[in-house]
Amino acid sequence: MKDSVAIIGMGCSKFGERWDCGISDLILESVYEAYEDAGVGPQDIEAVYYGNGFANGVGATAVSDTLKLNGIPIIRNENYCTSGHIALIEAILAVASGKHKVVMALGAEKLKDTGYPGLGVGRGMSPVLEARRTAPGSFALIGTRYFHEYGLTYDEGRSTIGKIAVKNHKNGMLSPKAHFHKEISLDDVLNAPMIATPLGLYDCCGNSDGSACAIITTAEIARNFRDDPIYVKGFGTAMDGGSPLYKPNFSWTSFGSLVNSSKTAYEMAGIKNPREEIDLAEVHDCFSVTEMLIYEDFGFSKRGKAREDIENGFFELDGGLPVNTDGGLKCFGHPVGASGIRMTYEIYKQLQHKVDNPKRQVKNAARGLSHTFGGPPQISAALILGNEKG
Amino acid sequence: MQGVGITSIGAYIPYYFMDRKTIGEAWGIKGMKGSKSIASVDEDSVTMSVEAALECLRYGNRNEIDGLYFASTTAPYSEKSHATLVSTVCDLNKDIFVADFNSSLRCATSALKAGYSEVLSGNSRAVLVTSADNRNAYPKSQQEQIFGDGAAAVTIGSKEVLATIDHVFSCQNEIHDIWRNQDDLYVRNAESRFAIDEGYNQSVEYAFHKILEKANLSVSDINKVILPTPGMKENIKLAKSLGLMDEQIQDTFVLSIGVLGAAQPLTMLVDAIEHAQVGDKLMLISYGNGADAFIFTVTEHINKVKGGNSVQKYLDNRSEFKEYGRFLSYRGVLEAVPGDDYKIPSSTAQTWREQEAYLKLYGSKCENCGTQVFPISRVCIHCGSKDEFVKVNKSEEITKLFTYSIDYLAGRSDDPVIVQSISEDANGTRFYLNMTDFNKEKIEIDMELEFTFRKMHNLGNFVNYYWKVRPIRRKRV
Repeated sequence: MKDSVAIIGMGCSKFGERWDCGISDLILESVYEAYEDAGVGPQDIEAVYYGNGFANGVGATAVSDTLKLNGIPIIRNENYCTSGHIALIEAILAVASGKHKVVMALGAEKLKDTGYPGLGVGRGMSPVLEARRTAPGSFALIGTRYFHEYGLTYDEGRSTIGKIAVKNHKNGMLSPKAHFHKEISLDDVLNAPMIATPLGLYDCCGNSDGSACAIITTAEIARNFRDDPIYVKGFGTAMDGGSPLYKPNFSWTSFGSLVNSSKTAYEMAGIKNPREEIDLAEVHDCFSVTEMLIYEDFGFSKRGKAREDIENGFFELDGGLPVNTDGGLKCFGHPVGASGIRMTYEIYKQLQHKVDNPKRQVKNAARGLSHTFGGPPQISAALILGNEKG
Repeated sequence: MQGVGITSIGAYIPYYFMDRKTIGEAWGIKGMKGSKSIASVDEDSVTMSVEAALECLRYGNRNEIDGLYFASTTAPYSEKSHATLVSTVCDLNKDIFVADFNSSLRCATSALKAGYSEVLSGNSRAVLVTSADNRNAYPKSQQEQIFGDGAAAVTIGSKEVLATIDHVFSCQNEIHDIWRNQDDLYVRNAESRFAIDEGYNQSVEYAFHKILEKANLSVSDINKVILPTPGMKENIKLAKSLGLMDEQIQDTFVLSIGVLGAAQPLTMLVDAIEHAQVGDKLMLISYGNGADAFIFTVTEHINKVKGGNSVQKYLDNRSEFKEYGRFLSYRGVLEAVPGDDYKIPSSTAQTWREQEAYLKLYGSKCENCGTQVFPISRVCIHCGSKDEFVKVNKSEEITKLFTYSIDYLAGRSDDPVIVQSISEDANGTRFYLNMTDFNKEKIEIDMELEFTFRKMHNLGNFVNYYWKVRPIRRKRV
């Protein structure tokens, strides 16, 4: 599977509070950028894989109605925050299977019409079992247990994860399409209003509108479209059997879905030592603590040692493995269904050495990873790209 | 047969209380002495009566309960059985007689008397009577300071009786002294001297003399007289006029918890039984447009519950509620700014179908590998066997906190702080539940928690109940 599929064009809308745009406007913004980037048009698209989390009961009609794509399969994927990534991976599989030559992966979300300032209070599939479960409250459970497990005091733990927020805000300053452009200090993080202990306001990602799109074809013909296609090296998706909320013996400091999805992707890509062999990564920093957890479950840091890497700046833009170079979910924003493809957009541009602000260009970037993680949480999707075959 | 009587007892006083001065200060008037207990935002008469009923069941045999009577003047539904709800939560048998006793302030003693007759007739082996109230009084009224919230329950049976019921007497007295019309939020009162003289005093005094006469006893033969009161000390004034000595008068707890409405008679009875000696004679007279009177004799089985101090133990572990505005919002008197409730209506079918999880807190134990999980899982998460499990009631387990978050924005706008918790029982079963009745400063990993049945929300236009965890509060059996 490695190197058999390539991305030949991508687009990404401006993320943020797009009060003046509906989901159609957001879709148009990313899709027409991707068409232009790939040198294709609507007539070339044979199928669409669409990631969307929140517009329920409407199928994928936002795509067909907006783009006037007629008579082709348009498949919607809803899998919490991994919706976009899984749509993208399904699109890759559709090409790899030989069924289609040119397909589109699209993610779009119009969150700001819900009236919620943050991701709403969920309830799962029951009216009462998770009636007051929130996204910050769920991921915060990781933080409390991680601090306990590794002997960090509450303040030490908060400072550690706070540095991730500071880093992502710094990167976001260099990212024109990001939702937030605000440099913050560790004191800002620690003194911000508390959302769900140990997560304060700046530990939480933005709640945004946005859309991102990828045009995918076979590696064989990719160079017919452009000189610098980006090749799919590996991918992995995993959902844990049984919610972490009720799973006996569950540690809350490591998730099987994270470990398994990255392992599958590494194996496909032939990566033995991700810390050394990956040049940059976009990972699911819905909350600062999530990014720390991923460092360990993805093998970027040794178990229990993420803190040392954070303190040493290993994941900074000029560090050994820059993570969330465009500001991450934290600053770029998190329109749920769009995020996975937006993260892949950053990797794609970085690997082409064509990011929209050269100040955040990772030098000599050749191999990058994008990743999302969703649910209570329970599902993870990772994708590894490279700018050369082999 | 040794006689029919009280075979187990239970009381419940909410975690929060309000100093009467807080109410006084809110209105620029003098606050009365003491405090009143207040139901939290997730409590109502159903949840409180469950607390008291479960306390009763910890002593006795659930399988012998052939009837459950729910008594309250503040039942959440005007039309729908509450007794079925409470008996389901208590995991009682399906083929039992359940009944709701509502409206009257003496509905709990009406239920007690009905249960007594039921057991005496031989129709039922044991009947559980559970009573609770959380009445609203007009803001700024004296009653607002006096009324409190709570619950109490007793089981009536004929085995290992704690106190036999020896004599009963009832009388009726049609009068508008205290009442609520169908849509009234607040209790109404007639002019107080009329109400007390022609209502409370008249009926209680009449019943007092009648039951003594029926029992052929004199005042001095009674060790404790349990006289619920409509106000701070109306019972004391009446008791003195009846010739009772101080030590014969059972404490009402009005100073610390207030007047509990329909729950007051049994709350006082529970405390009286726990402090009685073998052979003591107790008299209970409950008022509500007439009176129900009972004379009990305490048996040697009293040692089982002696010194239980149910009410006091709850009073020893509670927390002051200082925000009057928030209190009014909890009671539905003030409408706080709407919050971000998840808007999908609850399904009545799903709520019915999944009541073993929602109402009984059933988990499952795999018969193949022994793994226990909540909620019931048809495919074992450990060994993968399908439909090889037994159901396990988890509601009496104690859990230890594994991880948590104090979530500052998850609740309603008038109660925004929700503690998200993952805890584990001794069998390794994990629970994700909200914590209630907590002290934020004292939450820590490994702390012990107990389950408590609570109100979650009203989506779907009915009350959605479920379980929460709370720091240990009830006494351990």
